[in-house]
Amino acid sequence: MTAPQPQPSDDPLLQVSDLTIRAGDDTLVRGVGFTVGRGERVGLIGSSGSGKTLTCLAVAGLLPGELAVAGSIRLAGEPFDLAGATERALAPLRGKRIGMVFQEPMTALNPTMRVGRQVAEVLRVHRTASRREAPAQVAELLAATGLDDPQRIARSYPHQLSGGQRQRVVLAIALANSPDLLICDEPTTALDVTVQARVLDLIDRRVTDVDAALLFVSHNLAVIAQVCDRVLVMHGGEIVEEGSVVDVLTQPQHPRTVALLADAELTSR
Amino acid sequence: MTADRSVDAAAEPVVVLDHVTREFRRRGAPWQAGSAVVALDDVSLQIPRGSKFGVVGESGSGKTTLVRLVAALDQPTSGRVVVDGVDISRLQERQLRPLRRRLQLVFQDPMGSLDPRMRIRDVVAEPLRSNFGRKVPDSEPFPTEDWRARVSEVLAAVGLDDSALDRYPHQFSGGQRQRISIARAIAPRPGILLADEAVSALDVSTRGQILDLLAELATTEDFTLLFVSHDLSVIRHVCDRVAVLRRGILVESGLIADVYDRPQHPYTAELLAAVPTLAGGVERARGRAGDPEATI
Repeated sequence: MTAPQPQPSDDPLLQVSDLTIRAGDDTLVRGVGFTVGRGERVGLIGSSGSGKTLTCLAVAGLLPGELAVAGSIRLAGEPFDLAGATERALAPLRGKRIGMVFQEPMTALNPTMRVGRQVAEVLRVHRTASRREAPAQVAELLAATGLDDPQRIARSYPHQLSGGQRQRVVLAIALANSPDLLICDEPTTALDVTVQARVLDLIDRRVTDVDAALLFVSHNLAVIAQVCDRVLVMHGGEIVEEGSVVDVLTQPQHPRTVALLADAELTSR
Repeated sequence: MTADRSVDAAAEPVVVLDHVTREFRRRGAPWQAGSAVVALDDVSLQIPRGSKFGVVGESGSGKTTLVRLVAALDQPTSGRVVVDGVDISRLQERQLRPLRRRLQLVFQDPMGSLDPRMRIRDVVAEPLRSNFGRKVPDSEPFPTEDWRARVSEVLAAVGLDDSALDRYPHQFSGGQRQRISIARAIAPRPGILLADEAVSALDVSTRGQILDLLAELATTEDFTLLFVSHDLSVIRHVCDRVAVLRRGILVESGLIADVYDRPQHPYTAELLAAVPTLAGGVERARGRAGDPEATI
């Protein structure tokens, strides 16, 4: 690794080893292992069905109950294994040490609740702000995501906002408690291309602000390259290649990576 | 200025939009005058016969309104839409029938546009059935050998074989379903194929194949392709001409090479610059890593 680490990462922030996810007799994710250092930005790429979203959901402890999980997921500073941990153990981590941004902001936000209350909720649940402090912090968090007139946004319902504004709100919620790890699963796939560019810049900047590590899932290598240092290539539930973004993009080794590069630029193969 | 560099004196236009405006009335409270949303604002465009014409724009640019007007699924507030030399903007449904045969559509979501209870043979034969000139009972799937041959032929053209005939849409993958939608669209030998975000719901690895297929069919089946998408790279891959829409206004149109390499309008330049590229990504990653090779 030539990239300078913000902090020495003798013990990685996240260590996933031999992660296997099964649905009945089908193995969806097979023996996946990787680490994410403190402040490190790791991209996870693959086509549909490669297991990248399942891997992310496993780290966030959000896999549907009918899937069987084996292997271990360790988060630095937590004495227990996140794989197979109870909801009671995981709930205090989510929104506090692990923030999440998903593809579709309309389903991530509660349609019946004003946006400001939803940002305040994550502060109140984790007791990081009192009822009195919350409104000021909410305004600050919304302003930090580049939303104009944060007071008005805070009073809005999700349907009154555009897709880009909603995704900014989701990012404000995900980063409200300055998590150690931000998981983004195709955060800009549903956005227009000019909005995507702005949201990617925002993710880049805010992750640096709060000094979080990033696990960023996308089917688009070019998008991953905008924000990540290292990339893992998944195919058929396994990691088939990993390395720095520069190396993987300029000297791909695995045929799947070569294919993904061609797809990203839509060049003929 | 909207310099239209796409007009080629030699090629006769198959679709002409002549100062087309489409407004939608927003209903206000009863005591207020409803305000109007202008979805397309004085758009003039010529699509040459045999071209692969792309229309690109972001959400709210008027792409879908344009598709609906050209397909005669909607009528303009003012202006004319001329297809094959006929002004279709004020025609009745009955008078539109010849057009319906000549113009076929492929939509974004193949699962939503294929009847889940119809077998593939019936899905693909349906546009032939409706253009047969008489009502054909459903119990009689292929009244002539001609039909059967055409259904097999178009399935083969999209890379599927006769084993697909008796299966249902849910038994196919997303990419295969989009191939079936394309087979259905080309079955009645249309002169114009309208594709509205035809690859946007597909996985990246399938996207390129479907685009290549559409480009190839445009030549072998001899139709004019009107391809609408929000994705600039998709348009560049499949089209030879492009029109850029923004908030209902046509900002620029011309040959792909001209528009992509020398955009005249600042919005086109902004749109092109916003597309993340691998080269740009490598450069950024190098910059972050403090790599001496970085060229920022």
